[in-house]
Amino acid sequence: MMKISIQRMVEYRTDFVLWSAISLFWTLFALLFYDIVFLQTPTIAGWSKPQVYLLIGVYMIVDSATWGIFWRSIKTYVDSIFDGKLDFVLVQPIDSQFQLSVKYASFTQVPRLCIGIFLALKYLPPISLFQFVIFLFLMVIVLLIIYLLWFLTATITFWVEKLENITEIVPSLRRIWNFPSDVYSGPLGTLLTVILPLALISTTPTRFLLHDYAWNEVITLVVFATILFIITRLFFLYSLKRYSSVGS
Amino acid sequence: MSTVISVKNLKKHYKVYKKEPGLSGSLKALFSRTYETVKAVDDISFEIEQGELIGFIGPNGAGKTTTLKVLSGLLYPTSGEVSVLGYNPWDRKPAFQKQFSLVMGQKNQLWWDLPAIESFLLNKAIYEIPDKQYNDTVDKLVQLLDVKDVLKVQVRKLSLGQRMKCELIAALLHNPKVLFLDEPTIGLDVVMQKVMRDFIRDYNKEFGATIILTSHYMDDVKELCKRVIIIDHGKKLFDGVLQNIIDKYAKNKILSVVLSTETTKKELEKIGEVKSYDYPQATILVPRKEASKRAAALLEKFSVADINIEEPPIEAIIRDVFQNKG
Repeated sequence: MMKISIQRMVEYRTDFVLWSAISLFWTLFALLFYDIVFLQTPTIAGWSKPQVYLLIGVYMIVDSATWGIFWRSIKTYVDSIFDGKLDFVLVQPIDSQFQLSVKYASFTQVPRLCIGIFLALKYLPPISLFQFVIFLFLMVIVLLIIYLLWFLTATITFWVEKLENITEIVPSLRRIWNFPSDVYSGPLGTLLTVILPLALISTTPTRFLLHDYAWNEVITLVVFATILFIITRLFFLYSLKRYSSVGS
Repeated sequence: MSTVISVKNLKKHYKVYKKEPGLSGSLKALFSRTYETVKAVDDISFEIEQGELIGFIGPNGAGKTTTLKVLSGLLYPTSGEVSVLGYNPWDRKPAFQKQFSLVMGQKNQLWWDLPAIESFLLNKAIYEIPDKQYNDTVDKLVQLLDVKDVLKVQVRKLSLGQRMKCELIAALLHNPKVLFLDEPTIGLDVVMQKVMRDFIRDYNKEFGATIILTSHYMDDVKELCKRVIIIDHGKKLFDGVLQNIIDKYAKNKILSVVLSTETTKKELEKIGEVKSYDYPQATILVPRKEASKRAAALLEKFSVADINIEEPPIEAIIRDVFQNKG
């Protein structure tokens, strides 16, 4: 399916170039925002400028990966419930959830991914192999969390049939993990770091790169991802019973 | 022959929302909606043996496509038991999915913006088809359907007929034992319809595949299917040999007459219902059981150059069945 996605992408070269340019523009604009903030203050919630930029690099890697791999697939998934094209996914001998999740992976986020990696490498302090391995593990976990949230909300479409903006809920939540989790305090902080630990998505992997081993946050993320995985899977399988396709 | 498909007391009901027309209806629906249960499939049962090519016919909204989708595991039945190749379709086990195929007319599984050959390669990977089997099957099907020149063209640029041929190839790459064809010839020109029919017949003969075909074109059914299941409003009206439909439902026979001497329509109506009269030719409907007697009376009373006693066309009989519900 990855080969098919690449082939589809290069069939429409102008589309690919335009989307890549747009994603680059978004990235540069976001960086400009932080530059302006740091003109006014030396730290954000105790995080220095290099630390924040490392976090932004990690955020961009996560964001570009999720947008690139899942966005179009999730959108098509929602549309296919309404227009009946889900039929052709359900008859094939491949896990339907998997196919729906990655069928339309896109590579237009590659420039943004490169900027993210560049930023992360630029502000990365010296790290050990152990830190790198944990970091990679955490990146997989946080990508999984974002994907599961996205898929879970998209699955609601089975119950209401037409819900075009449902796929915009998770993208609108990205701002939560765009900042260090320390900016959230009180009940909101508890909500976003313990119950629904979205604020940890960029922060926890970045902490490990900064030699701050927040194992409690790792456990929180792993437990959350596991519960979310089970709920998403069961909800999807249960929701399939409501699928009514369309007429001939 | 073994039973490949078994359907017992299958029901599939939907809850649909009925909206009053106009803006006021839409506004009212924001607060209160009226739902109705539609019985798309309402207690049908049948069995299909291996290698049979069955016609599944009925008017629009009869429940044909719904039944096929239940058999494919796409729709969860409201109640009843379904078994295809020994599997419960709803379980959607890969071992089952690798043995059947669903083709829907004017709907495509092929990637729209890539050449068909790319979709074939993807299906090869999904269905885990060995290289040799894939190459042999593609070569054979491409030759049979004569699509060699279009395999490398974007699917969206193909004509409907070319697309349907490629759809069939994609559906048959894994040599399915069971094939569900939902109106495969819809929208195709008469030449292409014949090509598709010949292909389906040959595929059934060569591979012994069990095929259920739904179609609104009676030529598809007449040419391909010995056995027919008629369904209407979710209920099975008939299940048997096509010829038996005529015996069971045809109330009349047709006397096609060529007269030597002109007469009036009113006189001919003494024999039966005059469908058409344009001297010297007349078409008269007579009750089946009295066909011979009425033909004899016609020969006695009129000067006849030629007479034929014919069965009504199957299309007319089916139409009567749908309108009168048997």
